[in-house]
Amino acid sequence: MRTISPITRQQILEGIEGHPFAEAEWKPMWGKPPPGRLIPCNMFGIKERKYKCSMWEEAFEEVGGIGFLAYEDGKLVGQMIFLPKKYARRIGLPTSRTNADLERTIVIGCLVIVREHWNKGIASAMIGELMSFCKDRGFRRIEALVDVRPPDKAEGNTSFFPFRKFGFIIDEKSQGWESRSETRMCFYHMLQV
Amino acid sequence: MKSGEVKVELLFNPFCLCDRDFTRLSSLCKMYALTLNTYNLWDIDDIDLDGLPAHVSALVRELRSGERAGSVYSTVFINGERIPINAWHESFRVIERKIMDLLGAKSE
Repeated sequence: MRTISPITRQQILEGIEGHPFAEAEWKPMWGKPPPGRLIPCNMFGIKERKYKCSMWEEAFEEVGGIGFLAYEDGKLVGQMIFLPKKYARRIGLPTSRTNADLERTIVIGCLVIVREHWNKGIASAMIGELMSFCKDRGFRRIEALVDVRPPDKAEGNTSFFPFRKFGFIIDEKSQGWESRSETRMCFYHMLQV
Repeated sequence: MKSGEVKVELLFNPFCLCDRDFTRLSSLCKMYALTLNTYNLWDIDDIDLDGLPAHVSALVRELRSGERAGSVYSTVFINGERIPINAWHESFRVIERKIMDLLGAKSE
């Protein structure tokens, strides 16, 4: 059974239990994971972060959410993290170059699914949740960083494929990650509905 | 160059990887007896930019304008030279080589 849950304030403050996403990148020099636990996400999987930042709480207060978690049979298998575009710009997150609707745009900064659960519609389910979230709160535009290559060639980057079927458009003028030329921003206007 | 003459600065992107970057860079600085100055992008207001080192404020302005492609990663400056952290572990190998070059240290 699949569940898509909003990330709660408590999870922002205390971390998310059972977070598996940094496993592929983990190196022993960063320290051992707790026995029997998967490696946590580098942000919300860490219970005692050395570097505290008020950003997540402030974003939560202003927008009413910062992301969703996807569970399959109770196991955490996917995560989407988003911020208002003005916040994303403040911290240098990839965004489209346009300043139109700056105050009314949400930027997806992270969308990851555990590899064994790819191609099951989990990313699409979270994108759908975000579209409802944005519609309810008066956001007009959603932006996301994507790799324009097919999922199996995207080297772990978020693929454009799940976004395309919702009507997202590639912004060819806006490269996504500075260090990855194969990435672009894509966007969706809520008024298209 | 003496260790006191090597300026290491970390411009944090607080989105996701900053704990990891901070931990790694801190240990490098400790190893070479260097002082690490940190700036958190979230905590920098636009009106504060003029008070920051020029290389830091220039990058922050570019990122906030939207003209420069962004990143979830943090950025290191060594004596004002930008070294983006965009490929673990290679980025930190580059950073350490740069530090060693400036200090005239020999690699093992």
